[in-house]
Amino acid sequence: MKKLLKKDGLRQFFNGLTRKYAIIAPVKKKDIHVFEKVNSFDEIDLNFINTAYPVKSFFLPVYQELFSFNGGKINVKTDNSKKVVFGIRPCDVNALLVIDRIFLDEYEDPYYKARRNNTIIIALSCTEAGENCFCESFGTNKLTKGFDLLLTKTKQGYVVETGSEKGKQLVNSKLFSNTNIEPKIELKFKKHITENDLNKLKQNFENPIWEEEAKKCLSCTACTSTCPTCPCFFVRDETNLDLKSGKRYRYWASCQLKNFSKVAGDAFFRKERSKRLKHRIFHQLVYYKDKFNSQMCVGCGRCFTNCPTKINMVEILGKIK
Amino acid sequence: MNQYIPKFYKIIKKKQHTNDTYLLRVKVSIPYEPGQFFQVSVLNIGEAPISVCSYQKDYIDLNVRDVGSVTHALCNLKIGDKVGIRGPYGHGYPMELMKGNNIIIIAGGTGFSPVRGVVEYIEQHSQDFKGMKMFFGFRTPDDILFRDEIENWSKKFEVNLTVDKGDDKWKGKVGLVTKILEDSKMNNQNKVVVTCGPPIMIKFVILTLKKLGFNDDQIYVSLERMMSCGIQKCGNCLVGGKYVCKDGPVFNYKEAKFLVD
Repeated sequence: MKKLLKKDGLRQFFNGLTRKYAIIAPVKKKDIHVFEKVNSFDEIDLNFINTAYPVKSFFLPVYQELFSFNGGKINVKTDNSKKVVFGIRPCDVNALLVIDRIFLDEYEDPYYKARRNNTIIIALSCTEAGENCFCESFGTNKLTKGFDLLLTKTKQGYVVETGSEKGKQLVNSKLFSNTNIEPKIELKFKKHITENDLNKLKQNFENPIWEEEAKKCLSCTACTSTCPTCPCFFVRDETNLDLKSGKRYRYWASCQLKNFSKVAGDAFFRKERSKRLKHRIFHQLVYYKDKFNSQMCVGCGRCFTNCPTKINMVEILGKIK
Repeated sequence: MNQYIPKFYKIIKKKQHTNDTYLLRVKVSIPYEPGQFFQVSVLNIGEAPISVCSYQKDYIDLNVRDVGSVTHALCNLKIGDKVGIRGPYGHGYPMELMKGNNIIIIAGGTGFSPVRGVVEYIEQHSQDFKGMKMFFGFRTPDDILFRDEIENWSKKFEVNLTVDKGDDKWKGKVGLVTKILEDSKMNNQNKVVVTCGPPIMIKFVILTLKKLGFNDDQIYVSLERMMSCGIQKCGNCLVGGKYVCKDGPVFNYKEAKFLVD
């Protein structure tokens, strides 16, 4: 049964959540929106198409301690704080499901799992497609799972769908009434990737376009850093001044860096930027799907929105004949 | 279970093979297959994937070449020191599948390490295999690893050894491993090839094997990549859609030939 939350009820619902959970929600910063920890409803702004950066860093922090050590003694800390991600778009919820398949496989990642289990996802349907959005091409504009609540703005208020037991408990309050309203969402997308584009891509591993496009690449890693599904990392040890204790941590890596393909003896498998650019696009659009039978890319367009030289995955696919 | 946490085991033997390569024997009883690898740690320095160089119940041998910070720290450990281990990870050489065949071992340089486990396995299960031939290449006589063992093996099996560049004392063959392979003029009947070595060597070994009439699916290669986790998370070892850490590091060549960057 769908519920209705009146527009003026949203503030009360939100502030109720702040009493129990740490809330991560969209905040306006100059001309972009970003997810931040907030304390009250007044700090957030829901007037956005999508946030400039995804919520990835709240589940896979840029810098994550795996354990600390002192002599041979190892100490593990996991973050068990209860959080709510509020106002996340459907494509970004689907992106978390993409990362789940990697991090919650037979070798479960306990750090990621703890954060996933302790975080309530309150998603917000889109009312407008952005200039660079192409989620419709992969069906990731729709949500069937991965959320606790899904809010859709209508004239009458927010229509709320529950996606879990936790979600059902959250709407068990006087603020929510039963409703039959079926919200209609019509989004007009300007960018698309078709099945035909993907088939052509598969056949064009060897194509001059990779070198041509890579001429623009600065290896700045803006694409992978702002991608909601790129989860790669490096691991390092950090030593304290006593030279005995320290910690092992992981930190974001990027396939766009030459070092990412380094092996012993200073050899590099992907020395050329063209190979690195191609690797990213093939991972996003071919490799992951071959393995998990589901698209990795969720079509948020952040990789080219944030690219300083506008290397555009959708355009590249269009150029491959 | 937290896969990132290493367990610590004692080094019970250390032997220097060349000026930069050491064998470390770690006392630990973990079942493993030849060709698999362990994530090996020295706290404060870091962790690196090291292929297992033995096939034994009570210990694992790690053959470590001092080329980076972790391997340098490993080479500086002494007997009695503890080393961090987690694993084994990945798929090794499919020993069960290879039974009934003549096993052709081709290795170059440090690529010798994983195939030594295969040799030990075959020695322990000799009745299951038709036979074994080995082709080893090293840069110079000073770079030859496990010299005594190679000597012993040559009493039981056909061992072909070559160095890229000889010296005054060297009386053996000089030339690339592909040269002695070509000279063997062997056919592909009832044979399975196990190979490991630098990418450039593998490339030419395959070309030579094809000339000799071998099919892709008769060849198993072990691939090298950087790995930060060993459990298909960090993405470092992803190539052509396969994770070397989990889908490999040993691949049949019919699959490996598509794994290009």
